[in-house]
Amino acid sequence: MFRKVLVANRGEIAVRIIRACQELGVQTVAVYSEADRRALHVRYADEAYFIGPPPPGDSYLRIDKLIDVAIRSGADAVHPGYGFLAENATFARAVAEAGLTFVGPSPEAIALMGDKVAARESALRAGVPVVPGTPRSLVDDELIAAAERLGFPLMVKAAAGGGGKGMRVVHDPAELPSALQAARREAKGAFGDGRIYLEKLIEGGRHIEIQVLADEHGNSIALGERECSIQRRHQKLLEEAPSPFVDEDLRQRMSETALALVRAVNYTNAGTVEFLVDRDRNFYFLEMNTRLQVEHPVTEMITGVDIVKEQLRIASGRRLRYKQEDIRLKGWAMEARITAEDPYNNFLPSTGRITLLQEPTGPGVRVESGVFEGLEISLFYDPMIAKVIAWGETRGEALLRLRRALQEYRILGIKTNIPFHRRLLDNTNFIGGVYDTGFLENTPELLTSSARHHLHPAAIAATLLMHQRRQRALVLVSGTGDDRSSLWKIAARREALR
Amino acid sequence: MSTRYIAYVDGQQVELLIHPHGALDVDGHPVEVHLEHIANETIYSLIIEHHSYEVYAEYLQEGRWVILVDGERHEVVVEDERMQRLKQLGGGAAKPVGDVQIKAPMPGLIVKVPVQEGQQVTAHEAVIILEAMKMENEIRTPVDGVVKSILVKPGQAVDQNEILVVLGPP
Repeated sequence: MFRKVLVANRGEIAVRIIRACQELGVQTVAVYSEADRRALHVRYADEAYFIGPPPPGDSYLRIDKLIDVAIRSGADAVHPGYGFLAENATFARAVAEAGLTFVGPSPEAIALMGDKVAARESALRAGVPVVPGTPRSLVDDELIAAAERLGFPLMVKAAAGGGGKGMRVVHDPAELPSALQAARREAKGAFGDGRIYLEKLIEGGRHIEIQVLADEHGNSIALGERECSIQRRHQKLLEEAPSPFVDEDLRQRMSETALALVRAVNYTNAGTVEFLVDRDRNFYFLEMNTRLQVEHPVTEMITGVDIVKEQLRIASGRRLRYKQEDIRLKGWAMEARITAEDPYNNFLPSTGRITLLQEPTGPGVRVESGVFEGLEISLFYDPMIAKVIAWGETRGEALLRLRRALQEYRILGIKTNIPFHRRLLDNTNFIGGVYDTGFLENTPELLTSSARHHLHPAAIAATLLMHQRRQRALVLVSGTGDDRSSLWKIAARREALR
Repeated sequence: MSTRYIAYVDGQQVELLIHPHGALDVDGHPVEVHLEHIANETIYSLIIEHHSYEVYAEYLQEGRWVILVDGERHEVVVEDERMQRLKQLGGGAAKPVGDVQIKAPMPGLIVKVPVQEGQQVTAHEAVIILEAMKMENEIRTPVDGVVKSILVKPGQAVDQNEILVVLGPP
């Protein structure tokens, strides 16, 4: 096992990796930008190194600085987390060239799967079904011609893409030219690569992915599926494992297909094979994520496998500790991604200082958080601030636990998407497990505020406190008052007299 | 003398009357209320007719509060009689009478301006596409109106609260 691991990331995932290292007795090195001096990952790590200004391009994406810190700190491995450089083959190669171990697959596997079109071709060769689509690097006129052959609706996707950036759904041929332009712009801005391609849209499709682990000795296993169809603009908001749509037969077929791809590209470490599953249980390869996923905890909860620790063990050259038959799914897990976004205002990012925070606890609840009271939420980084994961023996118990946990979540100073999650968990179709990737688009009522339930409590609390402030101000002006909190004392006295 | 307040909870109006000895009427009905301070000038326990709520309260300014009731977030504006009278003198503040400024809710880059000066827009229509956090965000108008002036152009970086578009009355 490694002696010291550099965690080349920030936020909740850096904390998650540091925790795994600590449990394995491995020393940790954090890196931080100017915006993150006070961050949790800095405080939890054994060592911390400053790497530059807040914009990621000046700090968390600077390969030279990260390698320099790794060498100076005497780290023998680098864990990239997710996002930033996690799927950057150049970084993985630079780590190896510096004589260190990259906790993840080989640079070749990252490069191959990172190029969506090359990944598609690899999948086809491995006998993995794919969604009909176009090759990359066509110009707009060629794409428009190809679109007629594929038929509408279809998807515009970035060749270098991920996380929904540069992605567009087009229903009407007339919308295609402007969608191509917008997708190119976003792709160029996010990845520095404006290449885009088209794919037929599978309507009513579900986004279901298979978690895999593979060691460097040719062993690979699947850890079941995750259902990630609750998405807004292709950003996942809530995930669950298992999927309410998948039965044992489909699970087995999807797992075997995912492992066929793993073997075909000599994949090692943790990875995720994403599929689109249609109403008739046909599944199509979407892409492979060559890293730890945001939603990995739901798989951990139902398999008992600590995926981050397995990543570290595999990277250090050990054999997988599990065989496929050791993996038994137990119960159900659901994860809500908590973001600093206003669900009632088109999910606009909300910035500011977290003035108060109390995270949920209790049976079956796990919180992966990167924030704390007093933290300033800036616009430099991803708006996700935490994940709340609930486990239950059944899907119903997991759902009710997640709902209870979100009711306990208290945060002031910024707006979050918690109200959205609470409404989602009350939705009858969601409760019934009846949803697909179009669910949010087709359920706009989830995005409208309803204050009715707590109308009077909210009005009463604010008014009593306002009244108290006013009385206090009067006291200060006149200097005669004696009892600043008289209002509720009187109320209490009145109650006692009844 | 009793004090009369109007509270707007996410825009819904509630009338409250606080009597000199702390008794409270809500929308004309007496209600038994007990508010207990817990910690931080923020956390309270509220019991209304034996229904128990946990309340987190944060004062913003000018009578505006953020109130979490059992974790559910509400924006509440509390007005006393003086403020209501001022509002009436001003001809009612419920509907904007003058120009409406649409400001950048966050720093970012203007990607697109889908409206033109002189154009009629309806509430919730996108007037600016602003890129921030690597995502394109639609900035929508809160009201109906006519685009009076556009102060930004595509490619321009803007700061938070910078005025992007000014709308005149429809």
